[in-house]
Amino acid sequence: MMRPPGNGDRVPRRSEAGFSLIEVMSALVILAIAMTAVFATFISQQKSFTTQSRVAEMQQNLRQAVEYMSRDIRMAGYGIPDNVTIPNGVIAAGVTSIRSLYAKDSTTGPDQIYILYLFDMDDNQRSTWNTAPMASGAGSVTVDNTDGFLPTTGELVIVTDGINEQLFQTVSKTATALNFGGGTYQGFANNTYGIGPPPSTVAKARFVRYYIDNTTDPAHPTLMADRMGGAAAQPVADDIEDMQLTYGLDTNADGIIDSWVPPGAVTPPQIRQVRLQFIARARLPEAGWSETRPALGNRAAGTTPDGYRRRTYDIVIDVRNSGV
Amino acid sequence: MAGNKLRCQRGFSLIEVLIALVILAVGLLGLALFQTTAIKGNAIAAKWTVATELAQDRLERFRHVDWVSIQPSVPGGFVPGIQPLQSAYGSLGGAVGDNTIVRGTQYYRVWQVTSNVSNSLKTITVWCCWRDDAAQWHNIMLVTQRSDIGGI
Repeated sequence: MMRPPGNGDRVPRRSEAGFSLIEVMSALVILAIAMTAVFATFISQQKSFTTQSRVAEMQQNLRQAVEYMSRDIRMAGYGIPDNVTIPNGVIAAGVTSIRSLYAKDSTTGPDQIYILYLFDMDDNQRSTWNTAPMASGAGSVTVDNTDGFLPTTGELVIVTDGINEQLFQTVSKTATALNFGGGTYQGFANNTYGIGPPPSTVAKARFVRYYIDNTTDPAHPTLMADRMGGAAAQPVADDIEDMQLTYGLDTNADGIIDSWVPPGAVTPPQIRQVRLQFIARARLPEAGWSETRPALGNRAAGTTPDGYRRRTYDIVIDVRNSGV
Repeated sequence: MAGNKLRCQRGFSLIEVLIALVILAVGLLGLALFQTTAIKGNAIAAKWTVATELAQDRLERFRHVDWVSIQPSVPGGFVPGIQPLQSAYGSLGGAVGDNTIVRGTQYYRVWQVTSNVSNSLKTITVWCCWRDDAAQWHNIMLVTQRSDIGGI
């Protein structure tokens, strides 16, 4: 196969063994053009991807905030026959009872809301009933079983016979007894609960406060749920910039909403609907984007534009257990 | 002349390189289209969210209003006589109902109400309709029932 190299072969092969400077330069120019195009495309794709994933994240945060809060607002007052006594100052100075919900208005910041209902929808956290009379001032209640209650301290429990009801905080449990003591919600056992029939219901209470925490991390205001039992508040949705609440009132008890007012000025028994409004914003401001926080509810719009993209949500929720 | 033939095929001509660049450009444009699709997807999701919000809002508001005032938003908002009922997009503009503009998109809400024989239970169907960028109609439909007892 091999044959000795001859002159006729050698010369052309040597001249083709490399590139001339011109060839290399023109190849580099062409490569530069192509790479510029690729890089420009990459940059714009990258920017667009970042923006879009933040927008999607923001929309998801908003949906999550609405989903969580609207469920609790719908349930507000469920299983609570009358006002429940709470220590003064827990929800607001001078307010010592709550039946379904209580909102705190602010015209310069987000509103907040307290919601109370009886929590027995879940088989794992089911309610029970007392099997022995509970005396006034008693420190514990004897019940059918305590499977649905946490063994740890700090669980909020409602005892109700359908007329009276009281909020307690547990310290421990046995198989058939819940022991109360300590905590904020102790010392209000001024009713007697007999064993019926029917016996009194003993159930977990959902007493929750929704608020926007914009002090822990001012760059990321977070919708928080505080379960009020002494445990730390939990984040519900990130980057929720504003929350505004408006009450729909039925002032003449005919089942028809007569007026919409901001919280605070009215007595809670007239509340039939709650209008819930949110502003969510993107996680980070975006270069080249300018937007001012819009007015919401009774809070005025922001004054300085920033680079956050925003979405708003505005929905009316009927309070099913408003105590008609 | 094997050597000459070899030399001809060693490099690319300018035309070939330019064609390659054009193909690359087309490819990059294709990539950009992906991103456009993603942006559109987000925008579509946002519109569905708004429409759902508006439809739910309308339904919840019906729960505490005067019983006799719960009436269909006729005429023209939906196609009568067809089950399940469909909203008549063409007449939405003039239909009795309401409409709002959210972030540049107009949303139309129309509703149908049917009572049972004794007029003690009403079935309320709400549509929220909007047009996408290609002028294509979309709608979300929610149904609820209400009794006339005590405004509950």
